[in-house]
Amino acid sequence: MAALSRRIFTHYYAWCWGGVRQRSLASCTSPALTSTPAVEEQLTQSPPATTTHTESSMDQILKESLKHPDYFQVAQLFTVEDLFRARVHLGHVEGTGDPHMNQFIFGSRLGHHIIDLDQTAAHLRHALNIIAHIAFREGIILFVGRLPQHQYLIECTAKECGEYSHCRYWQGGVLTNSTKQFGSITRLPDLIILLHSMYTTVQQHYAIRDAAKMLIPTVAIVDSNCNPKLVTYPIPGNDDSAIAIELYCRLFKNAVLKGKEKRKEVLGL
Amino acid sequence: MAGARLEKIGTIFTRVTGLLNSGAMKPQDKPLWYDIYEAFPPKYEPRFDRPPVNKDIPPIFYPEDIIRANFYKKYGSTGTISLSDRNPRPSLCQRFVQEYQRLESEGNTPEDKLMEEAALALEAHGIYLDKSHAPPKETKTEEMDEDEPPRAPKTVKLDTLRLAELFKESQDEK
Repeated sequence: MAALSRRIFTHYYAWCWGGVRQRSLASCTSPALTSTPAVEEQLTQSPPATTTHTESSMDQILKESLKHPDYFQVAQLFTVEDLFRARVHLGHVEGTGDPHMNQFIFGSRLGHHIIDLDQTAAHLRHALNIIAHIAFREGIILFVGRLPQHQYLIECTAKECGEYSHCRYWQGGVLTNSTKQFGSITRLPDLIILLHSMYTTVQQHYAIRDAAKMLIPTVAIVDSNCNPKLVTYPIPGNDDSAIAIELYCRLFKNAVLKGKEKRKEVLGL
Repeated sequence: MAGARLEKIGTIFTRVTGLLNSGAMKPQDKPLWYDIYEAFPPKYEPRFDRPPVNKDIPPIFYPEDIIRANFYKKYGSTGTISLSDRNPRPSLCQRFVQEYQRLESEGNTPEDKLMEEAALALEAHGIYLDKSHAPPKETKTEEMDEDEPPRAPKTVKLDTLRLAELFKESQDEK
């Protein structure tokens, strides 16, 4: 417990310093303020400080947004019945399952795994909240999938919400060697959403491993034959049916758009 | 970005926390997701060395499964079934189960007679599971007879048809 509190405290301390440093970087046009401590910065009412003030208020809003359990109202985007109608509960055949998915499985109906939709709904709501928060902070979101029949849909979804997608052959260093791969320094995504966590029938998608290496969180639909260990925010559910993928795409798109709209609203744009 | 690429040790959060605490990663370089992760941590820590949860997967059965099994045992497959949720017509098996359960709840029929009674109840709706109980299709056969005369010459024609004859008219027009 002591170790935990120490970790949080040191982190909080680091966060404060990060905030100050970022502000000083952002307001480099007013050199008088860069050397002043944070407390004085807030007290000064001179016109050049207004940019600094909005910066700190944005920081405040970002901090406040994290205290709310559902800041973007993404929990109401779907119901468990919607999931059932989209056949999210249908898993793979018994014997093809991964032992790590057993905790998400409701039961076995005539040799087929049935996924527990109550758990799916909780995980999906959690993931939608994370996606909206990342979009709210102007993070880059990458949609990934490998099934050719869902490729067009995933690419369209990414386009519609102004984000990126990768549904083609995964060249080794897309994340881990991006500077060489793309010929210049590349900003990596801040969140990766996998609509299908398998690369082939038996091989997990390389994006999951590479994202964990490059410290990028992942949201992935994991079917009963997938391994959820390295996925930061796994969502147990059917990843093969077109109707289920359509539902996920719609929900993810709405969550991203909600996050972006909220940002515009907060900034008064 | 600083950071060991050892995805099998700890989680992305613990690794970034370690880098921040040691000073290898400067606070302003902190990843964008870090605060979000801290506020909303995942339910299960995404560690590679996480052992699987021991949970038995129970089989899912319904009481009416016995009726379904008996139905298919006695009558076999009843043809193609539409699995669509929006299909307004229930399948034969579904109608049979409905009738069976209705008779069972009424309680007037003994248990060993329920199968036969349910089949009879369906016959009242015009569904004959036992084809021998079906009435002879008199009206339909008559219609067939009427249809037959025009059909018969067609088949004869097909046997003796020649390509030259087929295109004769179009050739004449030219």
